[in-house]
Amino acid sequence: MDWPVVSALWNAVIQPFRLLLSTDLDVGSMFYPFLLVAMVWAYRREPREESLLSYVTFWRALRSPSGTLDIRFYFTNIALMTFLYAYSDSWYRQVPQLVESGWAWLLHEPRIHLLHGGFLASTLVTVLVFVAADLSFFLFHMIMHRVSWLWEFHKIHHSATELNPLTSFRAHPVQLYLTTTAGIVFSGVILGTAGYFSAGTVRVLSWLGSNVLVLGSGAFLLAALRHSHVWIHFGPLLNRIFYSPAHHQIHHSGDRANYDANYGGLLALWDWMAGTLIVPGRERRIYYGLGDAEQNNQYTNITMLYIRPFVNLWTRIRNKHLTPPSAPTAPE
Amino acid sequence: MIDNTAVQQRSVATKTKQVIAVAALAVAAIAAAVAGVATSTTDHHTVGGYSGGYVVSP
Repeated sequence: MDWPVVSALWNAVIQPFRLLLSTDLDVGSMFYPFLLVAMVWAYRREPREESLLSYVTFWRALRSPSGTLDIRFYFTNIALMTFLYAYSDSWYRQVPQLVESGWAWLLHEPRIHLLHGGFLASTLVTVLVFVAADLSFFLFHMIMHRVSWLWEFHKIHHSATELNPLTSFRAHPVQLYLTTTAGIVFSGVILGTAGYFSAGTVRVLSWLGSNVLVLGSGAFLLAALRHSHVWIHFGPLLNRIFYSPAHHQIHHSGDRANYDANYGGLLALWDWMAGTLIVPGRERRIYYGLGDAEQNNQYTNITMLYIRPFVNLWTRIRNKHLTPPSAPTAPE
Repeated sequence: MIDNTAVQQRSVATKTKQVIAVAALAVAAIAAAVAGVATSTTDHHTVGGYSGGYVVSP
């Protein structure tokens, strides 16, 4: 057997564990202390039957059939994606260089030293990269809901009937590949442009290889609790700017009207501007999933999560019935 | 007749256990965060979950 393949396989197997010790917004361990403090605060805010320990460990959600499927799918899907990326991610790193080459071709200059790589310029680029990544998340999330064939792939994420941070990884490889690519291309355009006009002197302010604004907002906006039962939001004004866990819980509601709302990632501004924002209010029990048991039951094991989108697409093409999920429907 | 003192004692004991468990969790969370920072590398960034597109190496 070829050694690179063995190495790629080994990386794939350990990646689900490495991700826990990474800067990942959903499961990265550096956010755990913030999350714990927020969860204890949220627990004490309302009288609850569930014990504090169960509440802060997502015990109820993780023990549900939906939660156990999330755990199994997390290990399978991350390993699979890591193996696939091992052979396809090198071009990601080339996006900024491609953009720089594009500028050089357009302006007939190899590089232009317009921006000087000081703290101010770096801060500006850091903010722009953050905004670009967030805008790309918002747009592609909305597209996944509104383009019928993409919705079939995104549906598996919405088939979770209990939310826990691992639900974040209940996403079809087709979806993950498209959203990750979109984020990298959007950010790459900013990075390449900044590189070209600063003659390579501007750097994104980063820590552990990640944009500090992404890390900071991941911590303070409690991004990992988006997929959880923990209802936290930031009040009437800030809810229009920043995306809270409650925003996303509303988005996961089985009520069809909420599918077309709260598409944001870290900023709620995009939803506000697009008219798709539902501002969270008082804590309420939300029933998650695709709205009816028949649909949720299409996604009850790992094989179904991978195969079902293709089966549904084939069925719909055969029946010539491709209606976007977010299209307005008459009340039943 | 219900023995209120016994019920209260049980309630306090349960609450104490919960607080100890959460305190242990807090220590574990801090240790995990420190371990995460200490071992984090930049080559994990292309495989994220729902928010994979954010975690782009600069």
